[in-house]
Amino acid sequence: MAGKTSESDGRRAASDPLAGLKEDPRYKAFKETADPWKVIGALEYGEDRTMASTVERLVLDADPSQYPGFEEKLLKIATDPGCTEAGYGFVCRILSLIASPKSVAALKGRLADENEQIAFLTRLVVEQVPGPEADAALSAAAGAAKGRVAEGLAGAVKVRARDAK
Amino acid sequence: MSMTRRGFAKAAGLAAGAAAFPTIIPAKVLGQQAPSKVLTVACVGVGGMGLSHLSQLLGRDTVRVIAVADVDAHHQKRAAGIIDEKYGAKGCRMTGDFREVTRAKDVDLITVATPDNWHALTALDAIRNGKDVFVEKPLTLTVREGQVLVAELRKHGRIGQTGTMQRSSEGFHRAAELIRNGRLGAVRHIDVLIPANNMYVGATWKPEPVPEGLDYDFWLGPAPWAPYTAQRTHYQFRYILDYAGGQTTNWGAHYLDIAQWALGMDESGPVEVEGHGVFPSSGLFTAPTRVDVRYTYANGVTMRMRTRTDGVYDGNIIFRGEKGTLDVSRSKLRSVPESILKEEIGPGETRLYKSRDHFGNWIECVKTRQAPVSDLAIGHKTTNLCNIGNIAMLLQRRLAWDPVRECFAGDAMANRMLSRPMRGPWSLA
Repeated sequence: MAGKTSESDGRRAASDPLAGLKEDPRYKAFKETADPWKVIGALEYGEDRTMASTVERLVLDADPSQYPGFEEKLLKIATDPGCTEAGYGFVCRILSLIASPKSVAALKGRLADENEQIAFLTRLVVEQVPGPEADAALSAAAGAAKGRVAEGLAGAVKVRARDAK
Repeated sequence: MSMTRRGFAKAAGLAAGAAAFPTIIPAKVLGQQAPSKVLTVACVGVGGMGLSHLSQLLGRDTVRVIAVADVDAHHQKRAAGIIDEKYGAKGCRMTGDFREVTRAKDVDLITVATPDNWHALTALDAIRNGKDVFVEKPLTLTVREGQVLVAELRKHGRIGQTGTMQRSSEGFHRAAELIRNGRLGAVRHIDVLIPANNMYVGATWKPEPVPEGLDYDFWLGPAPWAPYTAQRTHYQFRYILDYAGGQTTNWGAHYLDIAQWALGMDESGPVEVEGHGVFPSSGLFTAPTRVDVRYTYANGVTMRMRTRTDGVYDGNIIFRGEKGTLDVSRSKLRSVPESILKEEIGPGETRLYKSRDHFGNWIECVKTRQAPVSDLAIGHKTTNLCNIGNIAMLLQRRLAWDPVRECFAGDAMANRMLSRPMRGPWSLA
């Protein structure tokens, strides 16, 4: 399994989310791809996810000052009409680690998406954002959604209310 | 042999159930402390580990297994067949929806041997419906699930045993008791070895048709939806972080539990964790292929858990103290010097909770309403070590952990990993 793992020393920090990348051998695949972000958005279930893992590694290693830059790049893929469901899933999982109210504003319209998978993947992001923006978005979507998407949203609202006490 | 919900509910009635199965009056009707009462059990999750639970239960005359729940109809039928054969009677009830047994009025006890992402939800529903529970290890998928589970256990006054059965083993008990009574002097460092993790199964995988009899959407439960592929489900689920935590939690739950016990840390834990594991960057499996986590307790004791490379499928824990070392696994108990193992625990010294039968201890505690040897609160604290170990390995940095408040200091990203949104309709609410 050589070459299929990623390790980090956790020492990257800069305001530019991609600072240092050029010199870092861990991100070889990312460097050699013309538009690695687009590759993630085009992923289908079961395809090689190396590029998504590389971006995840970048985000996991990032200094908090780099989060807004990554958030912007991830939101650009998430809101691209050509983004696949699987690609959206990878993006949302990574975004959930750093998302701010900016992500809530950009994605809240999909919390009650008629595609159950898209609706839940969006909640992966929004539910992890602390603060009133996410509370309001989840409550509003719970009122608009149907079926188990609505049940999931209602549960999220209750859990956040309980945990806030 | 399938059963509709309506059919199951009908069978759950005492009168209806009597036609095939002997009438077992649930103990709660007569009082669980009545020594002669037979407790009724429903087993949730009857795959590999669930069958092990059955083997532990079927030979006892203090309990009667009356129902099984599993999202795989083949598992249901196999388990019900074993139960009916054992009791020489037909009528073990089967369902694909665990709520039909956790909410059944004629069930006293629930065992949970589902994939890890279902442990908390199943046990919570049982506890909230007045059942006592036996929950497989690792107790929960996230720290937050464990907090809610323990709070609800206490709120509802239920008895809950975690499946960390090494606490009911003589060797581990002896080792922990020797250490607690200072036979090694001050413990300085602990080494934990756990079996190798998931094999690499390729950079890609193909969605496959869901096999007949498997309610795949229910199998996924609170986890994000993903297409079925055979290696995602039975047994191998533990190598996918959406459903489990790899060997960090699978074996770590056993051996870190012994460390916590020996150190007297059942109500606490380490204050720092650092991880250097290796994760697959492609393919179906997402759990670490090489585990390497270091923990530091407030008193300076350090512990390192690593993947073993000698091919042995067992864990191993080595306590290193001022006066010697103590090496314990399921197959051995050794000390250097050897004289440590010959020492007796004298009057007035610390005696640890003694159990030699993990299921028996749980059943006895259900009757006495005393806490079992691996009370869910203890299982929760141990599972915390496993889960923060995986988080530290993902983040590859040193994290300050508050073992009482159960959160990280100064790392918002790490704290986001302590809980996970659940796919509807499932929720911890």
